[in-house]
Amino acid sequence: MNQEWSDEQLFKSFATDGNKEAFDELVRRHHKHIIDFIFRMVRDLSRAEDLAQTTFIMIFQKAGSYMPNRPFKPWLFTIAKNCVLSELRKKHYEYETFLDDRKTDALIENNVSTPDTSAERSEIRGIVRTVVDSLPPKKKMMLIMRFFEDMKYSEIAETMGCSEGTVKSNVFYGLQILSEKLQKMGIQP
Amino acid sequence: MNCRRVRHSLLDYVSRERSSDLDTAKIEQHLSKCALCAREMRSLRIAYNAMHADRSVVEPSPNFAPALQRRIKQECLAEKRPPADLPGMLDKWISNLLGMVKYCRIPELAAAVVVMAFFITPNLFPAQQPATHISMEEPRILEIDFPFTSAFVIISEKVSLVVRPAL
Repeated sequence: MNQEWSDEQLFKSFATDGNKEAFDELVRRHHKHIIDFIFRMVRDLSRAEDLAQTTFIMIFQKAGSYMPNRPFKPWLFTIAKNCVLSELRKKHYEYETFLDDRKTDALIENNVSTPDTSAERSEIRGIVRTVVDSLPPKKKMMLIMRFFEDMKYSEIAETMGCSEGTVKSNVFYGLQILSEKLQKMGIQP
Repeated sequence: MNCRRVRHSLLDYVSRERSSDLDTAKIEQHLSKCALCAREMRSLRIAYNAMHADRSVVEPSPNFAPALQRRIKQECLAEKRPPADLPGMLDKWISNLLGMVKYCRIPELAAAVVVMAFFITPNLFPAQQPATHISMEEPRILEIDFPFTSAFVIISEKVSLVVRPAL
């Protein structure tokens, strides 16, 4: 029965009737995306799982403050985002405002002459990861949500507490940097 | 459609995200004429496709769900702690205080008590001014009368403090 319900219906059932099965179903639906999102931010699976658990515990505790007309997924990601930012602050994460060009360029130089196609795909994945990792946390989050968690711009905007235009311009900025790096690698438009 | 408007819409165009104000035909018409915008679109598309190159999703450990259930039991469903044991807390507080005094250096403690006594006692008990006798013949002994106790501070090479109940 629970599998046919929307996220919002499930959470309403949990918040109002204390339906624990509904909560478990929400965890089952979203835990992989939440762990993946956090993992891409902190690059440590055990920390990512720990923070994902903290996210679901906060959802459990804050059931009373959920507004039923608000979509569930952006709310869940907002809490995950806040957990990540808090963790990064605790760990004295250094906010990088610019790409670490030396790191990226070294990677490109090492990979530029590989002729094999699958190896090239692997190189591209490496460059994508390097470019995404070198962005400031909030820009990085927007790219991850858009391209890895398949969220809509409107959902990302709600999660990040900004306008859709801001999300789009940040995604555009990230893609431009990636495009420059790919061109250095020899992939011309 | 000018270059500025086209570039503004390129992300939606490349991601094929149809919004109400996206006029695909006009964008394509512009791209067929403007080499700069066409190049910008192609580089954006390459970056966009590259972002999709990594579609792997990290696999959580099998322990995730049980660990979450454990934490929910501990942090959300745990019974409230019983009220604090006040006499026990008082005992603990006193023993902590004695422990602190034990490790204090006596000269510093004595000096602190004397200074506090001089400044605090007259203000708290204005009618009972502490009788402080400083003997000029024996300037090395200082006697202070507190409201309930009195103290002698013997000033020598080492300062020491003796407290006895008031008679």
